[in-house]
Amino acid sequence: MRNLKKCIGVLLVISMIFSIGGCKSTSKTSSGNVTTISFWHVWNGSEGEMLQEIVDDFNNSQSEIKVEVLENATTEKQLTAITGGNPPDVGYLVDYRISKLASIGALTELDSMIEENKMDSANCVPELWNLGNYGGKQYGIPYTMDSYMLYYNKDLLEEVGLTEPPKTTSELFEYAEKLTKLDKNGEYTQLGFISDIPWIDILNWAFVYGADFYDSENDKLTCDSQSNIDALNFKLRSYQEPYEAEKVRKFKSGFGKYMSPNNPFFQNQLALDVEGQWFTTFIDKYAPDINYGIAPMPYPDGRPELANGGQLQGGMLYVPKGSKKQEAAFKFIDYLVSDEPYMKFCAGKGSIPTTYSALDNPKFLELAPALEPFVEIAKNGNAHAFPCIPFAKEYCDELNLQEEKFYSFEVTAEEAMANVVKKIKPLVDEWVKTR
Amino acid sequence: MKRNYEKVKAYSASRNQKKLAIVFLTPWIIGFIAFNLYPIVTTFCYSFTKYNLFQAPQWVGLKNYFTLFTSHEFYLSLFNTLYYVIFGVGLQLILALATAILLNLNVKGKSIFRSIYFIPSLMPPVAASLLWVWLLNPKYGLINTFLRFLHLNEPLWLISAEWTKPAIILMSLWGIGSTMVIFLAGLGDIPHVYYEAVEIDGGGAWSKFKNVTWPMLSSITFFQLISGMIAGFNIFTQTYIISQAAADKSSLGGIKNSLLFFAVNIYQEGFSYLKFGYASALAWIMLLIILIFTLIIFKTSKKWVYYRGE
Repeated sequence: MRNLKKCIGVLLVISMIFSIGGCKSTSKTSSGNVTTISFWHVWNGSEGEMLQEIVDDFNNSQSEIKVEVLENATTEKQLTAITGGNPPDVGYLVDYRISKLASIGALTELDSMIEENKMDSANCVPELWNLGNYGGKQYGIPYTMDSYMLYYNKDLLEEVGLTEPPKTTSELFEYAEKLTKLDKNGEYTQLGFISDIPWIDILNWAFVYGADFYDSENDKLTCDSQSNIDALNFKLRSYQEPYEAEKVRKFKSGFGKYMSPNNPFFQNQLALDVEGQWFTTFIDKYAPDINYGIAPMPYPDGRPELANGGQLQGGMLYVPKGSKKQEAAFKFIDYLVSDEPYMKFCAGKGSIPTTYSALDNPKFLELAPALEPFVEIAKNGNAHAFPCIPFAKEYCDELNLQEEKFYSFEVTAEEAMANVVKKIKPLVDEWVKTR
Repeated sequence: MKRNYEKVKAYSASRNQKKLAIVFLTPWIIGFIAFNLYPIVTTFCYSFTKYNLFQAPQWVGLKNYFTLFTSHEFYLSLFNTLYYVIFGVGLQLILALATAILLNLNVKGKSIFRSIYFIPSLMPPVAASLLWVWLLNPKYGLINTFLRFLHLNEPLWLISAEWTKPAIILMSLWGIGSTMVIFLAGLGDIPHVYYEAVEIDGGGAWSKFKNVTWPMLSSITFFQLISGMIAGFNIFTQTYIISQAAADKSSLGGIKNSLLFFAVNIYQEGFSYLKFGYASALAWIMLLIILIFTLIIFKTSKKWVYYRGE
């Protein structure tokens, strides 16, 4: 019996050692003053290989820092590593995650290093630079940028005698009606435009209508503004007269996989489609023969000053709080966003550079000619990004949920946005209190 | 003297066996303590704190529990989960029992049929979910094609909020193989003389089922009900896969949160919103609810469960 107790005692001790000290960082700094840092990102496959090339270039360009890459490190993986006390030295996350992590002190402030390395914040698209800023301090350096435009199928437009893409939102729906085809049973075989393809997008049309989501001066949620209500009501037209909502849903449910040759835009099931710049690489891969054009997002009638609008989305490079080699980590980030490697990455991935020096570089458009219209959108300042607030994820999820209810006619646009404000306001109040 | 000696030998043998047993149990015990017991204890402590994984937990007492009972998502997820447990698990048991009784009949190729019905439950849940996403496709899916052939209504299975839960239940019915096998084993255990007795008394098939099969299987049904219910409360994988497979960026709860089950809600509050204290409180309430339901079933079991030798 005493032996049994001893056994269990020993087991308890062992298990505690396992569970508490299970993951302690083992930093490998080899001799000869080489600092080894780890870089975790979310990509894999051909995109991962391309990034590995860029890292190899960096490793070969100098002898002080060696970067080791971990591919396919999802958001959850990175979060777990940061909390487990064994974080990467450089990570990459979607923009709306940064503010939350910054607000709870999980990230390193980069301001002093930005100064030291003479990184010029004015060289970055301001909308994106601000996404990495929380409470007046910089925590993230923008690395990827997405902007959205209207893709149109030239052949389908020509069939009905249209040569130019639609310019205004009402024109868009005139086009859509002309581009609708039905079979003999009254089922759709082709639609001009569906506003929630490829997914319910809570931001794109809101920004097109000049709406914003947060007033940081007065700490107020502004999703219930008239411009956003207008944007929502515009979107719902895909499911109202002359369209039958149930039939549109059914037609939509039969669409093939998004990232495949069966995408509805490639299958001539959809003539007009709002997509990001990555869609150009999809076309090269899955539908190289499609005769398509790209146009800016249509602007609301009589508001030409809002032309070339839409949303910008960013991905950020960050240095976690627990990293022991922040200086080296920042030097590597600085290299990643320096023109040559940056242009190489963006052209390969189908992403837009966030620095003006790369955007204005003629070499970039030689590398990626298809991205030119998107670069224009990014540069002209009419496209916007979701604000940098720590409850961004909760806010977006609630916007999405209410919009789903709106799309199925359960609530009006006004009710939907009032619900969002009601749900998210406590988070605003809490944040204001603890700031 | 001799007897004493034998006693000692037996005692030391059993002690040796005990030691051996401990040695063999060690891997499991270590695993259990490190990956089950330790997390369980820590979640209990965290449930009284505000904790985001990064800063030290702040003690907030019972605040998480109060917040929980005023949260709309909590009740919605409870409703969704109960819907699944009551209809889903109920149907699973009925169907598994019916299939088992059918497969127990003396027909040619009995073992082949048994294998066919059992195979689907061997499929990993992730693969099965992805397969069903296609079967349930409203336009090209096999299920709606079949319904169209019968000129019946064709639901928008995973597209409209009214049909998502029935779709998940339909998916779960496909994996009843293991439940069915246990019922089959139980059926094989029923002595034939009882059926003969019913026949002599002039009873038919229904009377056989009511007076022999059902009572003789009741202890097995009881076990299946409890384990099925607990599994039902824990439903997560299918929802997760479906919301990932839907090419849109909707939240984990599926369209209009119609698939926001209890475990999904816990995952979302913890890993998406970094409210680990609150998520821990949710997890403990879930444990409590499962416990209450289990106790209720145990209490009623005296009325309908018969053990042999009673």
